[in-house]
Amino acid sequence: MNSSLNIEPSRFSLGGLRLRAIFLVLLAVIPLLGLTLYSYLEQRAEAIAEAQRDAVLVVKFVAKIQQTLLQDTNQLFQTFTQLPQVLHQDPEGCKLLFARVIENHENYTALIAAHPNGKVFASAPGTSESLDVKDRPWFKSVIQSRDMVIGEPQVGRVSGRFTLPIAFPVQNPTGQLTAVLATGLDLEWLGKFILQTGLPDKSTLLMTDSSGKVMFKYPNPEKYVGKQMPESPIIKTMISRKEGVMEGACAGGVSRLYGFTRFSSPNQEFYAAVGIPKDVAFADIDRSLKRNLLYLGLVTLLVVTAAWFGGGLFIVRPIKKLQGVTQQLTAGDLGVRTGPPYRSGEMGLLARDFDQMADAIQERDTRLKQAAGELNRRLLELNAAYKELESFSYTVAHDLRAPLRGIGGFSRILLEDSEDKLDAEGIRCLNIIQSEIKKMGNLIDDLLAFSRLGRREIRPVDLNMEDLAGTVSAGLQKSAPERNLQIQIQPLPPARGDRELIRQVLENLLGNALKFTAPKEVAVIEVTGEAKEEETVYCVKDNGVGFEMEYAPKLFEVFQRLHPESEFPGTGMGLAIVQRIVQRHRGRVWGEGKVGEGARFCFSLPKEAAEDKVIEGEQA
Amino acid sequence: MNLNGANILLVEDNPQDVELVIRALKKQNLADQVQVARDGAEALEMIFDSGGKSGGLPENLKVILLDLKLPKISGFEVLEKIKNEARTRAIPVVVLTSSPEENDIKESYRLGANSYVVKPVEYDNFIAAVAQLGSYWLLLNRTGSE
Repeated sequence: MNSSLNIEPSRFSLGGLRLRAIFLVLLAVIPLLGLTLYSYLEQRAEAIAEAQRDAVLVVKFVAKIQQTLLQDTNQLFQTFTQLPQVLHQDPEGCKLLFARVIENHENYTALIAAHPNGKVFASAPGTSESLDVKDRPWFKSVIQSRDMVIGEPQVGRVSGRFTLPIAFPVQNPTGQLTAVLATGLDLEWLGKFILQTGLPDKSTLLMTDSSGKVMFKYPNPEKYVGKQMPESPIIKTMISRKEGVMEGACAGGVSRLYGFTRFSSPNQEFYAAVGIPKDVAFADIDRSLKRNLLYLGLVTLLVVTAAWFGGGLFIVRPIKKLQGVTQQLTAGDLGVRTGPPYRSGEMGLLARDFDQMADAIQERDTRLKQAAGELNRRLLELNAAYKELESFSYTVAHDLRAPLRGIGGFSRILLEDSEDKLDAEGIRCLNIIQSEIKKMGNLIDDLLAFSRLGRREIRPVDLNMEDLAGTVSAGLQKSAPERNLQIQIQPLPPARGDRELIRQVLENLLGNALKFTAPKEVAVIEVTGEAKEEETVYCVKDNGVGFEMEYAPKLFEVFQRLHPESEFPGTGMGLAIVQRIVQRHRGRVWGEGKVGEGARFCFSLPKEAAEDKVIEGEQA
Repeated sequence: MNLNGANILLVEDNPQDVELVIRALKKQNLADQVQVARDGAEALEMIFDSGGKSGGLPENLKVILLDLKLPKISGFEVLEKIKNEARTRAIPVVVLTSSPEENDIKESYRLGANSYVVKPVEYDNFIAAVAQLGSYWLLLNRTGSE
């Protein structure tokens, strides 16, 4: 029972219901995953925007601080111009003043005062050698503009630190330039100060003028400051867009978010940018994503596990049960049912429908068995009746022989022993009795032979029909040496059948041909054969007296004759026997003829070795 | 009832057939050596009693002509008893019956028949057949008792 229908899906095959359930669950998880990722990207974009806004704010703040510092410086210098030490160009007094200021303002690296010819007459911190600043750009610039000048960042001569020089002219009331004051704004201090205002680690600060010259860079100011870098992507964007946000990577490879803005001093434009590392900006969001994904994974695992066991409990188990019951049913246990209570839903409906189907099958099976039983009973009855009939006809034929032998014997004894007491008429009568008894004996013999045919078992073998026909024909010729016979046996295809019985068929057909050609001077008898698709056909044709076709169907009936016995002797059993033998080989017989012109009798044998068996009474 | 020293035991219930057989044997001058049993029981009695109290063989018996359809005990049973008994096994048994049935022939030989002859219906043939049987089994055939 398991051999043919074993297509049971393995536990893990894609066709399994369990995996389908899990697949559905996973399908439901996919939108959640999408949502999580979408939310992450949203937050990221938000974070970018926020970081950039922050950067802009910081830059603005930085600009503001710087502006404030410049204004403070300006005020400081304004104040200095009112002081007597400065007005009188008192080196010692100035030195003292400057030292005190620097002490209190760590954003200034140094303070100097110089004559208009560039000779420094006071500086703090102090220096032993005399300084001359007339070659400095900021000095030339302040001589020319008579206004506060912010120079280019440089390493201060006095402090030795990286500073932004700021110079201021001192004029007498007539407007004559009497001295130049200068200080260095400590850029490193400035950078540190700004970055300490709350920017994340590894943030960067960049400041340029409108030509793209780096005014300030933190960290590593010494590497960049003072260089013209208008082609740097960050600087380029900054100068062209004035204010905004951008992403970019600096030479170090760290990806940053930059916020940039423009600010101006009294006579110059500057650009400043703050870069915040992206990984810092995204750290929280990335953590949140990881956490969310972890939760989602845990939930998915939970749900999948639930689906696995739930699927087993609610889907696979009922189906397995149904499958088992189906297999039992297929194996022939028609009484098997899934049985109530039925679950609700499709599984329950399926189980209930299955039970109803099994009911229907069982009922039909019962009816079928009843019908088969009835049929079998009838068949047995029929068989019994058939056997009884066979036995009856046999017994009749058999038991008729004994009295017949008696009649024949004693009439003959009468003739032998009392011939002298009988007259001619008496002797004639006794002779008639004798010949009639002979006929009756023949009739009984043929009847017995016919009856035997019904019971005889057929033993099919391969037959060489040419040989068989030749043997039969030779026997016939020997039996009628006085006749002028022309028996032609054409090439005959082989056949399969019972040798004894098929020989009987040929004997009867050829015997008939011989008999009914008796009136002819020359008897021409032809045996032909033809192999067709499903059967082989053999025919015996003669040039005898023939028959009327309208009687053709009667030819094969028992004891049926178309000619008076006085003309052609015989019992009328020959063709009946032929028909019986051929039918038992599942073949056909037929005859055709024309009065005075001859007859042709044919029989066919199936090519498949199909022969019926004697019906057995014992069969179930 | 015993064999009275007969050479032939004819087991036959049909008196007409008995008469015909005897007539045929008469023509061969063998009729006086025939003893007739009318049924199977009588036949067995004759065969097994003829040896007398000594239980010896029916001395002169040279052949049994046995019909198959017999009252009381059938021809097959008679045949079986004769052939199963050591002292009678050697007696030739010729089944002489109206039945040309294959099954009857086979069964007879299975039980040990020495010959099987179908009674011809026609008188001449019948007479000839019985005459041949008589001359063969009595004159030509040799049994060990001689």
